[in-house]
Amino acid sequence: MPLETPYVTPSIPTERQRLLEARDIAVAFSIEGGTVEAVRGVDFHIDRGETLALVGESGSGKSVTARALMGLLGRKARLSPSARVTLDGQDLRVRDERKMRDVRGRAIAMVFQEPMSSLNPLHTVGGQIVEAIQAHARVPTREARTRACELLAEVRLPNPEALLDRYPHELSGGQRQRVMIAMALSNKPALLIADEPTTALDVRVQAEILELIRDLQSRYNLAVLLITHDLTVVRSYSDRIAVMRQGLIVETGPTTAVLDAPTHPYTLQLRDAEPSGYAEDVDVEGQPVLLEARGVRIVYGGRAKSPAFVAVEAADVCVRRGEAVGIVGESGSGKTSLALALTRLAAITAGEVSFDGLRIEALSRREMRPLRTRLQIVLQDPFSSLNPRLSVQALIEEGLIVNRIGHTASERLEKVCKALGDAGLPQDILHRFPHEFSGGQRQRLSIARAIAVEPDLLVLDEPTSALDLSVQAKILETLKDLQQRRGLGYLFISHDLRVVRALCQRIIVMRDGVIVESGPTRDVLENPQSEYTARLVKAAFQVRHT
Amino acid sequence: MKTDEKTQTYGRLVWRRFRRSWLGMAGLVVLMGLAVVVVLGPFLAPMNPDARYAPYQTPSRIGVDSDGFYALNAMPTGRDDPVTLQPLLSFTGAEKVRLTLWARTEPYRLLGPITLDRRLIGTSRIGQRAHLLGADRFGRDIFSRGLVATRVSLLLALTVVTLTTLTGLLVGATAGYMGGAVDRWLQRLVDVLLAFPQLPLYLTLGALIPVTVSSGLFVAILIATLSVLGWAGLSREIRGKTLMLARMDYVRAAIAMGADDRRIILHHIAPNLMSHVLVSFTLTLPTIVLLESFLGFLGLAVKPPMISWGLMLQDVSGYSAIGSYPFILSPVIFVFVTVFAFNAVGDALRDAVDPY
Amino acid sequence: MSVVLFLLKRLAAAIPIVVLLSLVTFLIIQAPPGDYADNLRTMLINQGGASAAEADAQAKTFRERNGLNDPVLVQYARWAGGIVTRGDFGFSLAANRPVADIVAERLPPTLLLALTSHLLATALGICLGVLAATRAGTWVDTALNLFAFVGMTTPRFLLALLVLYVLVFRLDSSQVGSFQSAQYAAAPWSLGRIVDLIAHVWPVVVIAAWGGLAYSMRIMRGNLLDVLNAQYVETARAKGLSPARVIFGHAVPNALHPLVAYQGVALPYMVTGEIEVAIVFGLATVGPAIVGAMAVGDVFVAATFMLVLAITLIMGNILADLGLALLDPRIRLEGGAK
Repeated sequence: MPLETPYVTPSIPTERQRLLEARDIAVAFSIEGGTVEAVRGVDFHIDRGETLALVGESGSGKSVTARALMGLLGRKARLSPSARVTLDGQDLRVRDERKMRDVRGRAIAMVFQEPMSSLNPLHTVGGQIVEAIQAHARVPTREARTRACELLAEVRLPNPEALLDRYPHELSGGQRQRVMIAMALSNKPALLIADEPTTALDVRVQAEILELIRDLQSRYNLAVLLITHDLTVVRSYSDRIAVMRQGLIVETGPTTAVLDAPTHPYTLQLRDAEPSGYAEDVDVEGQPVLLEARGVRIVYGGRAKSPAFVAVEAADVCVRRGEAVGIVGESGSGKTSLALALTRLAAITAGEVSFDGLRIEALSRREMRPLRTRLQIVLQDPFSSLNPRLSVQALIEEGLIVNRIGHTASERLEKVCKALGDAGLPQDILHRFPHEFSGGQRQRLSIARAIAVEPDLLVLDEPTSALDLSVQAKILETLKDLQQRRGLGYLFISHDLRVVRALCQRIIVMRDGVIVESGPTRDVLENPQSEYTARLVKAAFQVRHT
Repeated sequence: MKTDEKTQTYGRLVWRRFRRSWLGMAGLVVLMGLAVVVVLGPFLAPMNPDARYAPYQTPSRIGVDSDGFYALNAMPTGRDDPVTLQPLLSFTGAEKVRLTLWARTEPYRLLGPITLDRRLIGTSRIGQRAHLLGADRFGRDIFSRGLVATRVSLLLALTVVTLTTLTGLLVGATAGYMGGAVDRWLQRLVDVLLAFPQLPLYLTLGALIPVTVSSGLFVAILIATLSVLGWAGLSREIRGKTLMLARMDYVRAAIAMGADDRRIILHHIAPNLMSHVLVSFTLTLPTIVLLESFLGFLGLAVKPPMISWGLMLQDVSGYSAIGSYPFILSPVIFVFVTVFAFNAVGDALRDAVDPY
Repeated sequence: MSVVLFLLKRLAAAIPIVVLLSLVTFLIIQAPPGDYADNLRTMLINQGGASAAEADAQAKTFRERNGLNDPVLVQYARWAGGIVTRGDFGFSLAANRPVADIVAERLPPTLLLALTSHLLATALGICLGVLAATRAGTWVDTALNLFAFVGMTTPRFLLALLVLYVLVFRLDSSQVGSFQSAQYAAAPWSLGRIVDLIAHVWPVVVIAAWGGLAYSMRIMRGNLLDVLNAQYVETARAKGLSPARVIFGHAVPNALHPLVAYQGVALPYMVTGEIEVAIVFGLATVGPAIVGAMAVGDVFVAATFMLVLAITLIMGNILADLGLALLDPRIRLEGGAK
């Protein structure tokens, strides 16, 4: 399947000056029980005006490397004595706190991942930008405010004057990130370090922010160190790439070259882990409709204390046995509410829901019980989906016990082991506890728990959103395998179009509680009928427009 | 995955974290010592706690010579202190009172039907005295009384805290899980109870107890009094935690599995509340021990033949004696040690249970 | 929502609680058989040398005159009505004075002492908390933590006993048990008088503050450690701000939050501490007044003090919530843009 994203060659001046050079960066953290080598000897350079993408999964050391450049490592971290950073030919004494204070926010600026928590909730937006300006120059407050206003306009925020006196919690995530960028640029830095700047944002907002950075970059000849795990972003926005794994750079070079023809097996693995291509077609012609929803309406609140909030408005859903249907949407689209309501874990205000022909929207919990084994759910957060007090065996067995499946303990044990195997887990973990497992393994445990009762339909709410790319790839493989082997149907909720495309035969697009479009995946993605879907598709697969 | 052979139950995890706190471990050792004292108190006491000797005896001096340990009691010199007009005492020429292990003594009741006629450490001859911490106004050995009082003070506190913890747990979990009207009314009740100024209320209720009741009944009423308000705070915390737990994904998963309320509360919510309950239990005990001492100091104490630290502190109020006989303040030591030990363990436990 | 509205709502919610409280208190105090008239009777017999019959008669008259014969609820209604309509809290049977006078005499010192202790404890606690958090993991932190542990677990009344012993019997201090020495008692306020006052009450303030300081320090340290890990603190550092600015401009204000919320819990704690210590020291404040009233069955005094204390605590809670709302723009601008 050819990759559909065109490599856009950014305008590169033929001569580039070397801006930053980092040699032999190694960082060790002292924790109880010993030391952890987060970064084990890393060399790289960044030229003026170019974007270097530092790519890796969690634990690769990319964030630590960035912070080493800024001298932002905590007290528990130790930088190797031979580490050297040169900025503009001058030795950057990263260990000298006083010198680095001068550099931070002026020569090198940084933007962080979580816009929700990156701004001080108690200070106004304007106040924080003015603070950044006044930290490096004696500028009277009035002048600084004017400059702050200009900056806010430059990052394309509406009403900059009024915005100066707003508090961070009054802005949306995307707006906050723009403020962060404005603040970072306030002293005209030569290098901007962006640590996963768009990971916490909706897909369309992501594109806008990255566009903004690119634009500012070309205007101010800004060099950008872009830290990310998202290869789509890398392809569209970086000139060069450095791939990190477990504290070392395994491969580096021009983005196009490296991703087209990776030389290191890890890079290859990373590239291939990106969900690509379409899901295999499944013949569901004669198959019965398992889950059907008509005109489902979900409204929260509506009492004295809180105003009514319509989470879902008139939704129609249809899932046949054996097929995977994906529901995509941005945050606030109502997809999770819909998923929870369809499994009767949340209340439905109006509409009909039928499972295998039986109307279930008004059933009491007791009446629902016999159906539970056929309709199971896997949730998003690997850390709160498993009861920390139960052993693996107890966790998976619970469904069997509650539903009286298997008459003897050994029968149940057999089913538990089978579920573990199908979910891709080894058999010897029965007596272990959730806290001993990684995020990906815990999601597999959730899956094992769900399939142990042999359901017909599995509802999955963002099951891989919190996981690394390679882990996600493997779990998707497992899910595809299960679909084939057990004839499982899926209702897969996600904000990630790539994942849904790779797994689901049919797709439903939601926006603000309304289903905007639905149909076979290929049709919807290649010929979107609604403008919203089109924009979503573009943002997801083709982040940068030519 | 870790490659431990032993399973890593939550309990073991907590224990491992607890062990790191040296203060907690020290406290634990002291608590174990206290447990021993509760069971074996009278055996460990060097003297009969009720036997009366010369009042307000200064603490004996303990020494060791070739024949073993001995105690020296201060004897009146026949002269009086010119300022306080109290008899002057001196240790010179005092007779050495031998101390032995496994000393013989008058028979006493150790526990229930078990009577003994030996003590761990005692005077070599019955009738002699050795006051480690001095004697009170009736000439009774303070140290022995302090040891024996451990039983009553701690058991009283344990009963009160068990009652309040159970009530708080039940009410809080019910309110949190059921929600709705049940929750609202319970919350109002808790609000009213929490608005009561605690100490004055205890004083008030305590003062109501008629002086003529028997010792046992008095203790029962005291326990009831101290339990009335204590559960409110815990129930609020438990309610908060229950609300949080009920929203956990694994509870959702259990519902999706078809589990009923009973199963969810028993298997999913209650076990995860236990850690909080245990910490609360451990940290509330010292406050009740203190309350009992304070109320005793104010005159509201258990009655003889029971001995508690509060009863011992009753002698201190009025301050008439402590000027000349400061050693009657020594029951304070017992309370201090107990309070510190429980707090140390409770603190360390709290950090071990939830390091975040 | 505006501040005034907030206050009104909270006050309105507090009223039923206060009413219920006063009723329960009154009933409890009236519960045991016997009343002040009995006490009077006993005193007349024991100290006045009256015969049983005479004492009975006197007690009977006393009862009738003071309405002690009426059913409990009527007495309560009379008392409560008196408070609401005339501000009349009843009459102290023992001291032969209006209860309101006694309260006016005893309550302000208690509150002042408790407040002083509290402010002292909080101010010091915050400073030490900041110190401990910024030096986390070093010996300074360990020492301060130990200090906090000792402070929090030391029983205040036991400490008061020890301090009392040392001061009175070892150091011969005559300044315990009263607010001022005789020479200053009625004198106009001057520096000398203030110094004398402090010399008399410092043990109470210090002991009451001792525990509170440790609490505040602990909470501040915990909060600050959390906040220091927050993203916006890293942002502040990345802007190139000085460490002082980062800590005091960004971290500490955010860490103060839970401390303000904790004020609701702190006030009863400090008042209890003050009561305990004052009882030990015999200082003429609320604590000894209640103890004394209970001992003789002086109903109105005891009930009023309970009521007044409860109201104070509730007010304290409301003020704490108000403070929190004022400090935090997120709460203040409730209902603002997303």
